[in-house]
Amino acid sequence: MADAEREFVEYVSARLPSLHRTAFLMCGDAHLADDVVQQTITALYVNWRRVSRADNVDAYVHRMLVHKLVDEKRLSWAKVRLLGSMPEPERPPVTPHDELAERDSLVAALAHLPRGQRTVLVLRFLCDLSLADTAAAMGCSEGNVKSQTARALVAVRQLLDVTEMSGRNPR
Amino acid sequence: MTTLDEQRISELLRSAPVPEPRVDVGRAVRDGRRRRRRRRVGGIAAVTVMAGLGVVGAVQLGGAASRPAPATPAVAASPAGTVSAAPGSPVTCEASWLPRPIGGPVAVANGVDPTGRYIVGDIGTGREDGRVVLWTDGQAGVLPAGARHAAAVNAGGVVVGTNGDGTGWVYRDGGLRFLATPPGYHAVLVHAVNGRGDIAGTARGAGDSHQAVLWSADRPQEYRLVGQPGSAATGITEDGTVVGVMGQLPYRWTPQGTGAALAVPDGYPRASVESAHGEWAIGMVPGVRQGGAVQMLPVRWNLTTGAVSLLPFPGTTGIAGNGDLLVGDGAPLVVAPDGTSRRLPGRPEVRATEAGTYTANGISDDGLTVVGAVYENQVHRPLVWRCRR
Repeated sequence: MADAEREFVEYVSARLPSLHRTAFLMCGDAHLADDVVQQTITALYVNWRRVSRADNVDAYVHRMLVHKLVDEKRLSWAKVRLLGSMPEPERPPVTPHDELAERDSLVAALAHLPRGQRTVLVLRFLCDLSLADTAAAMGCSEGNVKSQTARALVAVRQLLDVTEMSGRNPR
Repeated sequence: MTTLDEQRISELLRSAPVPEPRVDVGRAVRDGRRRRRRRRVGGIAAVTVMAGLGVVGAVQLGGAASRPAPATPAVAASPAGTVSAAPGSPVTCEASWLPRPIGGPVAVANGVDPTGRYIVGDIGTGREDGRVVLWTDGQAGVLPAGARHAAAVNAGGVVVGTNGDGTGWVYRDGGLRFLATPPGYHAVLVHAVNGRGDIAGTARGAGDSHQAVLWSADRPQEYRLVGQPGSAATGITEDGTVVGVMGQLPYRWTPQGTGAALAVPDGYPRASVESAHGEWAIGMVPGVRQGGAVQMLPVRWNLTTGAVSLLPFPGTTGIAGNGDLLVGDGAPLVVAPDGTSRRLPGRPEVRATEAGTYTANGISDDGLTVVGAVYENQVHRPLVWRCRR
């Protein structure tokens, strides 16, 4: 038991930043991301002995995370447009201005995507989940994941193009 | 996809600024220990957490045993609200379960034909083992395993879809056939089929090349490219009008293949079209800028008049041939062209009340049949709403 607990703490400590990034990018709300990650790792602890024997622990944990987000009543995702609460990075990375602007606008752009679209983007391109694992995590078909991905890419491209263009106007 | 490929998205997601996590691993261990004790004493409350790790079967059996017969119930007392309608045209709706011919925690109805007789959906674990189910007059049949991810069904029961490898297919009269992928492209995405068996979709190739394509259910190995390279088709109406995009413009093509841009609402730079039924099409425009980002807004076109209008909803999932809009704002809502709306009722035995418990995915041409699913206890179950005027 003590070994299992140490394993759990090691696993969670290592994965915490990535779980939190995933949750935050999916919901756009720092507090909600904290809550959901906390709930997820608590549930993970309860089931750790079984989960840690799973073939793909990461995929399973992502699935838990998505379900917690879906279950979270406050998260009326379609209405999450919390741009006012978009957090400032504490230490802005040193990068060219354009790239920095694009990163910020991506976070803002995600806030405007429908729930499913932002979830597929995060799961597939941040978490590197396969089509099958993304579908499993979201509880939908792979065809659904593919069409949501295609739509999300189109939407993000439009959003970023628009912000890029409007960002360039003053210059 | 020239300015932003998938790798770029991936880099942006990895480097996007996020706040510091405020999560306490020690608290998770403490809370988790308490919960474990409770579970040992208190029964199986935690079992549902394990969906996806082999406990699904048990949850399924439990659900099936307590599942009511798919017969229509009395009008349900509903967490989603009861039916409301315009004065003078009362509409009553009932939600019924669709039978599940095979097991699987992800069972969803995705589309309905214009008459409301045929319904298509997927049942599986959500992994690459889902099977396509066709309900005909409420009776379920399972399509051959070679067909995955149904996109649409027409009034003759012809089903079309796209497999995970980008192969299009058509299912008719019990037979499954595959659609030709045009030379120079490596995948297709099939979106719609009309009553004549015209199938609309988009072929995709290297470097994000793509073009709208039409097939016929009669001759699936033949195809016709629509418009110019850079076009995409997302819908087809009963008269053969194809809708989609050309570059960044919303577009329509006549059955003969003559293309014309659809109107973009004043003040908006571009728009995309998602689907079309009857004389209506729906899509999205990039809306107001807020803090450096843009909010996508749903729009509707009248294909007869060419008029386009912005819709006052967070999003739309479908439009009926009579102009009824299917709106998902947390619970299914049908909005008629005159602005009157009706909230679809729930099932009395569904306890979950969270937004998103009920999803509606398809609507018949008269707006009276809507199909979708309920998500509760980590299981999706397929549902049909049938309404009467």
